[in-house]
Amino acid sequence: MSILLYIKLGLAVICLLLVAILLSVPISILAPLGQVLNPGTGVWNSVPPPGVGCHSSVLTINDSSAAIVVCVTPDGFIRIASNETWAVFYEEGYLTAEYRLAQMYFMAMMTMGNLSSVVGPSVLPSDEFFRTLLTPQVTQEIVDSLNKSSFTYEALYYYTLGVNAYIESLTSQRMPIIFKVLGFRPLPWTMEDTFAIQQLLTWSLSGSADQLPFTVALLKMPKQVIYAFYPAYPSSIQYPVYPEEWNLGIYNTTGNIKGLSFYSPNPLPPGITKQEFIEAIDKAIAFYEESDTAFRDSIASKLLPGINPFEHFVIGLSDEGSNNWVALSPSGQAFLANDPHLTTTVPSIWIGFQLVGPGMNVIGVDFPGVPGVILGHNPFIAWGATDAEPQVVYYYVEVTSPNHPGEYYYDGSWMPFEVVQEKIYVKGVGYVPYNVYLARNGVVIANYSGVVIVMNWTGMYPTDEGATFLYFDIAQNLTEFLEGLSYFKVGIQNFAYADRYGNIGIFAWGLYPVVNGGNPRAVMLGNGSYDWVGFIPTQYQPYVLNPPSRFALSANEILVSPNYPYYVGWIFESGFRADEIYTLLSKFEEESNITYASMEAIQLNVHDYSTNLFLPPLLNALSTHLDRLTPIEVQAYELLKDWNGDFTPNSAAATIYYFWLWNYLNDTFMPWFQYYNITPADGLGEFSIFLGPDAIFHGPLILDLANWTNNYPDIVWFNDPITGQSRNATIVMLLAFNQTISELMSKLGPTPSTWYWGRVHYRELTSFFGVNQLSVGPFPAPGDCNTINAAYGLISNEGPSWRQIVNMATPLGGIGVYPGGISENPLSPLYNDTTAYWLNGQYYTLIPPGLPQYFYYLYLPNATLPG
Amino acid sequence: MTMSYTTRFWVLFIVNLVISFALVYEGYWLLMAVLGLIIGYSLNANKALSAFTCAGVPGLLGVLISILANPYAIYDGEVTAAIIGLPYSIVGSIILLVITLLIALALAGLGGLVGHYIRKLIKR
Repeated sequence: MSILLYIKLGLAVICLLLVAILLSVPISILAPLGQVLNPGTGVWNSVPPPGVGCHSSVLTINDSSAAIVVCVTPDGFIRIASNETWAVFYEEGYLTAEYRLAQMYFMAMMTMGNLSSVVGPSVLPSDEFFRTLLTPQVTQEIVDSLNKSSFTYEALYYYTLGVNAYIESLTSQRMPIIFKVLGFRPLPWTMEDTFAIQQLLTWSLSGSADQLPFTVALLKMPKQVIYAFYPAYPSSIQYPVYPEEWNLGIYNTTGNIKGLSFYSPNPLPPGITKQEFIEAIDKAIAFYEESDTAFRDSIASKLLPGINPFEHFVIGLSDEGSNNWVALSPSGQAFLANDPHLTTTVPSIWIGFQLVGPGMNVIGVDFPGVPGVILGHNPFIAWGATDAEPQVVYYYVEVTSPNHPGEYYYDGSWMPFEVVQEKIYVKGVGYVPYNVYLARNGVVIANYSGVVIVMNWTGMYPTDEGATFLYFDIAQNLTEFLEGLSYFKVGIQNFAYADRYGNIGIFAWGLYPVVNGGNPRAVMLGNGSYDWVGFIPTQYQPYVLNPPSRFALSANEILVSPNYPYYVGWIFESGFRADEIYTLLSKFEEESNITYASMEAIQLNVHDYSTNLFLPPLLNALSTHLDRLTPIEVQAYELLKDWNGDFTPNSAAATIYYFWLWNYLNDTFMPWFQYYNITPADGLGEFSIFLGPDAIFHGPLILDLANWTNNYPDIVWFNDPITGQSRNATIVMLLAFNQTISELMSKLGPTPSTWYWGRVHYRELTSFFGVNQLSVGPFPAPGDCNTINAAYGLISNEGPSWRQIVNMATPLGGIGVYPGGISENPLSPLYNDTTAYWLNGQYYTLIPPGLPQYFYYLYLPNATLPG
Repeated sequence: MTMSYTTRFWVLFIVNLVISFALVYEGYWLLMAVLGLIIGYSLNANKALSAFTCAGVPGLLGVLISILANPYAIYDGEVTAAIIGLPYSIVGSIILLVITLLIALALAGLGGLVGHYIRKLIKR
């Protein structure tokens, strides 16, 4: 009997211990269940942050006090007013942490190469990638180089204090649920973390690997194909951002372009065969595809379903394009419009702030984790940005030898690779060693059988782009704006500018590397002969100020006219959005109709300019072959014939055209790529030069096709080299049309008039944390990748992440909108409260009437600061 | 004056419920096992099932009350369910809630059983 009791007791104790162990042991990357489900401190006790409303307080730090008024408004903005500048930034840091803590930490951890410490081994390649970009070292160097008596340092210092004050006060109720699930407790925020986000931004805006597949093209394709497919300057219509006739001064120098070759492979290191080189390049491409955040599907596919906090960081800072323009009204009022096309996520990549302090009243959007306002306006100036997309990444193949292991030949002597020994903490695994190898001209990204490829990026040198925006926030005129711009070096943007004095301009200043020989479009020989010898001098960097056209614009199109003396890159966007903006601005200027309404009309325009180029020849081809079309194809033809090229959700013709153009592009180029053995490992289907995804098919190939279709319809490149079939544009267009109708019939049924664009094309606000179920949408949506109101891809989560229009003569009437809301917490009404406005093409008045009077400081004569 | 078994059961049940709620609310829900052990010992029940019930059910209820005291709790459960791959709906939340309650029942109830058997052994 007693033994039985002992057994029962033992069993009870064992069961209890098993439960205790179950509750204490992490499951995969999750925190232990005992923590996650703890009713008092786990996921069950979370509450969302405060909703809309205003409150006043007095903030005291050390011996300094400041009066503060904070208003949270249901338009996606947090408004802070104080009688002390430091208090404004302190409060900005505090409130950003309050509403976006998980987002800012995940971004910083990812860029610092620490994400696998939270998410586990599946994201180790990402950590290795960002360690290879030297983020920890570069951010440290930036912080060390800061001028501690500067305004920007003060802003950053107090912003950091504010973030940490929130973290110190963080209760379990306010700990983000995703942190609880992953068992992560945020460490104190550092200035380095802020600069890590800067590095993430600058890499996403300026990192490129196109040189790798282009080198493969040079090695696998004959020169005449390279000339035809990849002209160094596109032959189709282009409106450069900085045309010669608008600023002759920047063209009036010698430059380096005459010393470069653009159609030949660079010399190979001695003893390396073509095949070995190609395999090394494929390895370098794989390095990006497996670890670079720009290649969205690679890492996401490796994660556990459901637990995928990385996927949308992958997407979160990708940049498919943007628009901005400035224009003068007939009376000389300067308008500025901007819509950067980043990923549309919930929470948004942006958070709206109005910051009011002594001499400052700025409103706009900010990246969580970074002080100030990034894009916006103040009472004196407005600014916006699009990615200028110059080439600031260069690739080299080092000269190595089995006789000199661990060394490379550079500038006449053998030098050892510098080794940076990293240890990456991986959740569930422990510390994983990782070595970064450095040469004089970059970091090693691939080493295949002794063929060493390195990458050099301007972002691997310490620069403080964040200072630019802080100086913009307080700038009162063009001189002060340009002073701020002088800090912007990496991730070069077309900064549009308008001020209350009627000045307009666009500036793309930064570090443009200059090389004096070789083919910079491809991987260059790393022996020192082709290294950067400097940067384009500021006076010759692209800009336009008060042009004779009375407007200027940028939409990621080619930067300069063909005879610009410096090489600035060659892979820009097709220019279709720019063409449309140029057309509309010209029309509105001619009609003296530069108003908020006309600027909105441009920003929301969904006419695809490519239809101007491709639709007439397609209709011509179809109309001359009607007898060969099926009845359904004839119906489709009729729809196209009556179509104006607008990608509205109820347009069936838009659907037909979209799929047709993709097929036409594929049918023309794919046989050639197959013929020349361009493989997926070479980047086929991944890079725009090799028929990348449909979301980005606005690369050079589409311009070739537009040119050939309209000007050279019988050019040999329409032939099929595999079958030997002789073809022309008409044949390929009809082939693509036939394919398209078959595809759409099987996808959407046999009635073309029901193939509405809104049935196949949606917008989605994707969950930033990769939790698909927390995404918002999808919504049937207008636009495509070529429309000004862009919506890239069929389930589009990239588009106008922020829309702003300001007339600087009356800046208080400035309007704007971003999708999502202030809060990252799905339980908050501020998680998704601005989306409907954004989807419907509506705008908020950025500084609406009815706020406490402090928020009109510097706008209205009687408005004052708190206290 | 000695309490009848039934009275003792319900007194301990209510005491357990109140203390469980307090422990859980403050985040010390693992201590429900210790509390259950004390309850199971104090109950001096004839049947192990009674000890398990008197210790476990109040623990479960304490957890449930503590969770439902937060008006956002069910929604928190939905978000958590979405993050870990369960349905982002009331169903996902209820699945997690049931898991949580079962854990509470197991913790407190098994504690009660241990207490019960210790008492039996000491009595011998």
